Amino acid sequence: MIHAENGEILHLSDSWTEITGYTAGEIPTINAWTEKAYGQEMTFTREVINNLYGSQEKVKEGEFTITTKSGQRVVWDFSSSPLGNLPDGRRAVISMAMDVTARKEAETELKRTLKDLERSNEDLQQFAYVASHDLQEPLRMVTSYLQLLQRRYGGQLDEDADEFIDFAVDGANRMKQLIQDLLAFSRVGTRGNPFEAVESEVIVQHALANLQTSIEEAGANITYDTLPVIKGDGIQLGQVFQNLISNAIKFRGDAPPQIFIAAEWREGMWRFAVRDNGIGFDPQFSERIFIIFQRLHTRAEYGGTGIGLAICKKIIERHGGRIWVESQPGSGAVFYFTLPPADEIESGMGKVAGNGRIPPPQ
Amino acid sequence: MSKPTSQAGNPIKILLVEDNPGDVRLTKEVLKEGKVHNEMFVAQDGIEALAFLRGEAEFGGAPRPDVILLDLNLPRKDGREVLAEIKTDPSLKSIPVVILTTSSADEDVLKTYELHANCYITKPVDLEQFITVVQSVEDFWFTIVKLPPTL
Repeated sequence: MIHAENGEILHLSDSWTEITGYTAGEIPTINAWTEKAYGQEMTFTREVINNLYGSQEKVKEGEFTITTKSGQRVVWDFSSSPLGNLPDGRRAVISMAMDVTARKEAETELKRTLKDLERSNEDLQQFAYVASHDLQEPLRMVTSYLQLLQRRYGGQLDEDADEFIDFAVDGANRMKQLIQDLLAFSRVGTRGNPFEAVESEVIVQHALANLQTSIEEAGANITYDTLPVIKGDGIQLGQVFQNLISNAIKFRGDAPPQIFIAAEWREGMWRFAVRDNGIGFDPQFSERIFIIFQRLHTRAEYGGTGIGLAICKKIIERHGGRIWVESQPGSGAVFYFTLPPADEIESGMGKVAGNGRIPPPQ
Repeated sequence: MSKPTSQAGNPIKILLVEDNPGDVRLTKEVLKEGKVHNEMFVAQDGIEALAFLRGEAEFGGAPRPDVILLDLNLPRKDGREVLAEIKTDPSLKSIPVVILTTSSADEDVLKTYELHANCYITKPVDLEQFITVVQSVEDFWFTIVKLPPTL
């Protein structure tokens, strides 16, 4: 619309009328317009409009909420420019508005969804933590007293009784493990550390040190390329490497495990690969194995609750990366996962010593 | 070979402050199997514990324990409060206190040492481990450490 400093509206575009529902005849003055469109906000808006006449340049008033004739509320993004003086000396201004209602609604909806998701996530975390934490004490009673029975009466009752007690003790022990694993899983989000520049080679070395016994027992040979500096939670990433390497050792074939770790720079992320020569598996299960407590073997064949890969996935996703696997039965497996690089400034300022590889310039 | 007793030849008196009857019984069974001749008394919460220690109410005439096993999470008076009161009471503070608890949170460990607990042990889930824990408490306190003489 074009308006003059005495409040007269000189021109109203068709689209203005289209959206607001007010014809030129219905809003001859700024006062009439602001009263109809802004209601309680009219005093404030009139002040804003008044200030336009003194400006020599374009002004961006910003977003205002307008009530149309039909009672709808729309959000307009205003900007105004001076038009100079009319023949009678009055200063005139042209005000233009962009309808951003749809965008605002999408933004509000997005914010609300995010908030809902955050809250739902928090609820789930709490639930997992509380469930596993509170389940521990009753389980402790079951396990301890069953073991006491075993200790004191094992061999004194008949064979059946011994077997029954064995099954019960075994069940209780497995339940304990499941609960502890569930707790560990729920803690990935709640007990994570803030991210910082981390040398993945050092992390791998720690993981190997932790796995020393199983490495020796299996006669495993583990090698790795130069590995980069990445941004993340060192402790959690240590868990990822440890889980993957320990799996590679566990699911070995007849030959001693050969495990190789490398990293490649791809599309703005470091893509790690952990390759083994173990038993492999049918690719149709490639996604299922990352699901919590999903296993591909019976308990008799291989131990474990099936939480390791689910934890890896949760950690990698917390870091903004992706994890997946390629495998064929009898041909081992390669586990891939992506991680963000450490900021160049962090690596460059000596925050990280050693052979940190800085990604190629973008 | 008979079990060792306290220096005076009497069974060692242990006050267990624990509200979970399951844990009370477990501790009793484990102590029974232990190397040291002992007599166990039970208080189910912090208020009972302090009344026992001070010989108040129905505990008039209660013996002074040689060691206290204290669970941190108790109803009514919290285990930490009980510990604080014991360690600030001149007539009670020389009694060794061993904290038995399921919480291994760092703050708990720090806080109880600051409150002058003599020892902090996490109740493990496994009976074998629990047995080892209680028996090492026995070994440590009763046979190695010289308990403060009862006056």
